[in-house]
Amino acid sequence: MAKCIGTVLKCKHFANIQSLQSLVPINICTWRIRNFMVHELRCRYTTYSNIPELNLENEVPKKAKVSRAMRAYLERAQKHDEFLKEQLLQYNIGKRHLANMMGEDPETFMQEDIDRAIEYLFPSGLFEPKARPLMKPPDEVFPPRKAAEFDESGRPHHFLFYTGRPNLYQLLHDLVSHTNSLNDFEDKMIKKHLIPDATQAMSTSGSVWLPKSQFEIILVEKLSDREPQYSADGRAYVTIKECLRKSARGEVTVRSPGTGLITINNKSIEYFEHIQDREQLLFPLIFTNMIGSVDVEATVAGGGPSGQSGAIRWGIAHGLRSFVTQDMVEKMRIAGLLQRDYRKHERKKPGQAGARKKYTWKKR
Amino acid sequence: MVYRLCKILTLDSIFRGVSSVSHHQRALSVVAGASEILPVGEKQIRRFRTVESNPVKHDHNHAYKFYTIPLETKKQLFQHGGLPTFFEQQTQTFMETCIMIRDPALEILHYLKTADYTRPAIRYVMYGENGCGKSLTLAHILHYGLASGFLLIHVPWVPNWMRACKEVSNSATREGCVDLNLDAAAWLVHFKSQNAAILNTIDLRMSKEYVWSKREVTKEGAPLMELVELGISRVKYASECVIALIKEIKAHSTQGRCKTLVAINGFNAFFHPKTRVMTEAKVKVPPSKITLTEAFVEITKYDWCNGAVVLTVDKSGIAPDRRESCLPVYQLGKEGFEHLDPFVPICVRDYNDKELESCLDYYIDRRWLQNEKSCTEEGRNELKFLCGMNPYRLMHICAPL
Repeated sequence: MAKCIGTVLKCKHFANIQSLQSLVPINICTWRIRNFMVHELRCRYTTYSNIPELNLENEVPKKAKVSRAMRAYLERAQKHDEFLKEQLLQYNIGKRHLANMMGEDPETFMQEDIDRAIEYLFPSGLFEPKARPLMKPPDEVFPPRKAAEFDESGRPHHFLFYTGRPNLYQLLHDLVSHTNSLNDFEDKMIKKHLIPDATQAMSTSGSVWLPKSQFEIILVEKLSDREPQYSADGRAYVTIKECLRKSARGEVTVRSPGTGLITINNKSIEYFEHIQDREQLLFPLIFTNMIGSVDVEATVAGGGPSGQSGAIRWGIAHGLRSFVTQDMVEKMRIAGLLQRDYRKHERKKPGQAGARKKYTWKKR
Repeated sequence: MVYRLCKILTLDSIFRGVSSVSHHQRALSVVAGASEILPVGEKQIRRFRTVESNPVKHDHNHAYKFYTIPLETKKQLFQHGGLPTFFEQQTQTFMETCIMIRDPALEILHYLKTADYTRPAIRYVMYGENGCGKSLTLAHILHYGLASGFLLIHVPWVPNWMRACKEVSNSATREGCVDLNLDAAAWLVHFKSQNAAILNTIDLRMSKEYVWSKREVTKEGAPLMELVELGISRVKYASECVIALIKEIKAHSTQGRCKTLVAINGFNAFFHPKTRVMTEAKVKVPPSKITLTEAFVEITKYDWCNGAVVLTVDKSGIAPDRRESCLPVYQLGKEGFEHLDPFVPICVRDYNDKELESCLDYYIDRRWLQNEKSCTEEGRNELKFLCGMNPYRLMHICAPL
């Protein structure tokens, strides 16, 4: 029976197949991951490792050589763990004290009761709820941190450590293997001429799409903005911040699918009067042949038209990377579209007419 | 042979600098004559051209197509102004005057055809960003006026008077006012060339006597052309002649002897206080103190009938302090708006996709776009992107190609 257990978490982040195809082949659009799998991930990464010991005959067991950086890292991880344990202890003691103060039974004093008690004892007129006094379990207060990811010899625990984002890729890997196993199961059922029971079909009404920020919290890893996000009308978009050129600073959003609409500071391409500046904006679009398929919204400030148009061009090229094949990205890189132009205005030096120009040289 | 020569010329121009390719040089590359259609597919020609050169018959079937103005009509209408300079040069190169039939023009033509002329004259005000096609739309409407037998009162470009006047003199008859006599005389020449034909058919006479000096008198019952001739020959009285002429025409229209079409380009210049007209004492003169203003402010009122008034407001014809918006109320100012209220505003927009395609087809047909890429889909997309759908920009971008 093809059936998934329990309520699930969907990750909206993975609705774009293209970003994954480079990594793992996938057949279907949406995936449902089991709740316990995520829980498993969490557990896997909060345990502490054991130091491996070399078993040698007739010799004192030697510890493997550890570099100073590694040692410092391991120490930090251990300290953090201890710190959290202590905080948890403090929290529990504090909870019992608070229950006593309020005249309640400490055994049945729950988080809601704590919140109410704190609100009563420390009334706050502050507007922002996060700024008001709170008492929560340390897991919620302190941001989750990964424990030691590698042992003393430097060997990482996770087999995907060198991807830089092991949790994310572990999750994707599990999703794919699970999907494949489901597909195999379905094939077997079909061979046996068994139809899935309609009454036991899974309902997704309880599941919810997670936004990127929440997903980052679960994975304890930062996700890159290169994968496009989805706006309310279902269009993918990428925002490139910090588009710099000379003194211009800008932000570019590339939306796909689009009609070739260009908006700069809420004006059309008429914002740039000179044709050279317009051609700068044209270059990445015509190079990747995406001129009528994406919309570009840019805000830019500072500098002059040349700097501003250069900044937006870089922004558009960077944004287009998410909507274009790897081959084309490589071509863009070779064409120099993805290269930040770091040239800045050189200052004038004293004793010279300009940055490089000297005053007239007189022999005598 | 000619082709090779023109190719060398274009290469030369690339080395010298793009904008140095003049229309004169390019003319060598246009082999075909005005009426001879170049060997392009039949269907393609029908896509952007129409044979109908009578604007009276233009309707939505001819939308976004180019129609040709016959040479004699063009001479009659635009010899002394009316077409923008760059467009005029283009007509010299292409050896034909083709205007695109666009939506604002069709809208105004529809209104002109269906208006009730027994009611007071309706004012239509065209507005739009720079380079969107207001002047050419006005030219189209003027052609319609000629074809339908209207008497034309056409001011090609008011800022010519306000910011580049030829001669300033103190008015003899009005205290504190200033005359632009040479400009007025030039306008009378323009009026004559446009309306000579129709004034021959319709007999319009002066309704009262005008005494210019001891010896010069225009008697009651004299033909209107006499007044025009007087203004041209006696430049001293040209401004007054213009005012008299306008008032006479207004009276004649109201009495039903003729129907009048007033077309003024850059009307907002009559209401902007900053001009470049200076007296001998180097004092700047506002338009309210210029005699010519009175004439055209008079004709744009709604106290006459059997006529239509088509105006444009253009922010490029005014001092730079009022260029934030192209909308009519802002451009006319308080005085201008109170004078023109109520009016029908008509927005002249940038090209839409079909119009742009049509325009590019026309340029390719006229061999204006020499670069091979301009015929391809990619090239067209590039041009579309770069010009921002602005007709003026497109014209200039295509110039060096």
